[in-house]
Amino acid sequence: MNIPITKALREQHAKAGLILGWFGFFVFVLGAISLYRHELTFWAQTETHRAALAPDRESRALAARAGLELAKKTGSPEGVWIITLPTERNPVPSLALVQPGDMHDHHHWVFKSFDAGTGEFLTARETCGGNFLYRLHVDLFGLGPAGRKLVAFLALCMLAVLLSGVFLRKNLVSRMFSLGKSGARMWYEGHCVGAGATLPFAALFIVSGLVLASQSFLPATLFPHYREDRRSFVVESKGIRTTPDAFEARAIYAAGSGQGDRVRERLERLLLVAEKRWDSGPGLVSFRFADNRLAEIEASEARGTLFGRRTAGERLTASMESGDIVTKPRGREPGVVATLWYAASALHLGRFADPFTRLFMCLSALCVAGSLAMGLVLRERKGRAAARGAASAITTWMVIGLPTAMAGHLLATRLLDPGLAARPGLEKAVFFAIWGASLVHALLRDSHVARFEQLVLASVAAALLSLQAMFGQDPGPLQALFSGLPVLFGTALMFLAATILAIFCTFREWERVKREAFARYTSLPGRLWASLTTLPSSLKRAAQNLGKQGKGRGEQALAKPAGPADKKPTGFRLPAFLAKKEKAQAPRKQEVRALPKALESEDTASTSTSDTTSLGQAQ
Amino acid sequence: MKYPRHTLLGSTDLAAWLRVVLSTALGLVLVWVLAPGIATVWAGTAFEATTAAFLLAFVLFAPLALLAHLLVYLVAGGLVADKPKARKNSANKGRDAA
Repeated sequence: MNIPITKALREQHAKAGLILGWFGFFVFVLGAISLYRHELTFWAQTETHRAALAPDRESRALAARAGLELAKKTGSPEGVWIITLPTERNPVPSLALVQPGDMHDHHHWVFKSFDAGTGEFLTARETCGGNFLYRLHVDLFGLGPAGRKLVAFLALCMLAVLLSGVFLRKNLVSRMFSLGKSGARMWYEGHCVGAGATLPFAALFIVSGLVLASQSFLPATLFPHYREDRRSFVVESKGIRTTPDAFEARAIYAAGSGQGDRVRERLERLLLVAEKRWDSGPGLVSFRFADNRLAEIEASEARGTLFGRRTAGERLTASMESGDIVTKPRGREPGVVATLWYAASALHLGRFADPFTRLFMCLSALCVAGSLAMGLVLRERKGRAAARGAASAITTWMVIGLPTAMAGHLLATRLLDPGLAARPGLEKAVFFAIWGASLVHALLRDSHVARFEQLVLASVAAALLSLQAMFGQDPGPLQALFSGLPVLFGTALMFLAATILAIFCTFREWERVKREAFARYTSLPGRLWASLTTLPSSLKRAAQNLGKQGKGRGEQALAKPAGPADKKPTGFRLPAFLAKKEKAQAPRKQEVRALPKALESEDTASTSTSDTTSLGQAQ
Repeated sequence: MKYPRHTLLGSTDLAAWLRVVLSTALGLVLVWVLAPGIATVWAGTAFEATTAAFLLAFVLFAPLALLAHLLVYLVAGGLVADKPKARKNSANKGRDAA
């Protein structure tokens, strides 16, 4: 007797993997796109493109000066004035005038973009842009804390499925060199190799995501130390609590003998020091007031790199009284576990990442999603036909419907009239309408052709998006690249890559449809083709009946010779373990089919070698 | 010898789904109970103890859920009989020669 470990693992992987495969694809695709949410919002707001600045020293100084003048004109000397400087991700500067009451709640800060050249605010269209896709990734948009908990719970379950997959996996390296060209074998090998190669990324993204949602998902863990004050755990998680024993500054730049406008002089010096101190330059400048007088100016690093500090950028503060510039304290050095915690959350948020690292993160998340999709298709190919219907439809809805709806949403952010009331709501409605229609189509349409049709739609949507990105904006992508604005070029390139991928998948699916399901096309041309090429079933039955009446049993057997050639071409090959099983059963089936009842008493030894010879002897 | 069929929850597709849901729930309950315990006994600051408990809970959930599934699978179906060994060729050879 033995313990059926492999069977149990296979059952767990197959069953839980179905639901979690859909969920994982959803979360990973949206997560990958969310890495570019600021870029997508900028792309959608065409009114701001002309005011975009290259992320260099001169542009940042210009934006800081223009922002200060604009704040003086429009703001009152209280609270904080915050100016965001042009960066690689967001090249348009913006200004927020924060009232004293909102200083500790950044959700109430309203940033307005401005043109550093004219010194005026920009009137950009209202759009949810990339933020909508980000909210979908985080809390399934609109579900709030419940959505966050659900996402975290399913992510945790994904870890169990990953682990069972690791135990089931065999010979990864040899599989890598024997990837099948098509059919179920391809999906099987692709899923094994893809999931094996992307396993570290998948585990890393899942665990780091769980770190961000932990306090809402497993609140019982907070009971021993934070039962009364859960909020302070969140504050500490973000690494923004400073401890009293670390209030000494690390570096001091003494004030020079500045002449003229004191505020301007302090700002210029602060920016100069910041540019020298940080590779990525300053990303934010804040002017803090106390008793209606400017007390200090603070500059924050654009992109922090210390993982153990949650990649929070360093801060430099210039005192208005003394003029000295000091670094803000970072607080006490965290321990090993806290460092791990901060590093995990920083990794998931990707704030540290330069453009290439961000691209790598995005591609790795998409590869994880791809391997999950391959697993879903593999399960479909292996499963029983009766159980495939709804699961197959949901796979189509997730794997093809979701990217199509995302493309539709992004198109809506650009094409809807900028003056429309409740524009962001309409953009969301476009997304849900397309995604809902995709589900209805996948459920009602013949599964053999539904996927192909949705792929055609996805290709068209992606192509429209590419056209819009390449020709529907000023400056165009190439012009933007050469004028120091890589965001627009990168966005156009991303859409183009998505279009190529969608067209490739459509072409592959068309090959399958032509081979397997062309006659099942129930549209008019398909129906006509089917009626021309196949006999009606009633006629077929009549012909069979006639044949039976006219022939004896032996003749009937001869009329329908058995063997492998008699099999219908299925269009895809079975995975190795299934193929072996079938091969082992094949000769027995052949024997049974070949022997008519009249010959059952005859010697079977010769029959098994040659069917026709033995039948001839019998007659 | 015939392989035993699942008796507790049957051998249907629904039973398999039930087993998976049950084992996942078991894993979650175990983690839910374990994490506050770890936070209580972990030496260090409150923040470090809590974060350590969270991290260990995430790491432990997957093996616990798999073990729970194995347990449920065993309870439902019992041990599996060993496969009958294939006859050795040498024995056949002797018979054929005779």
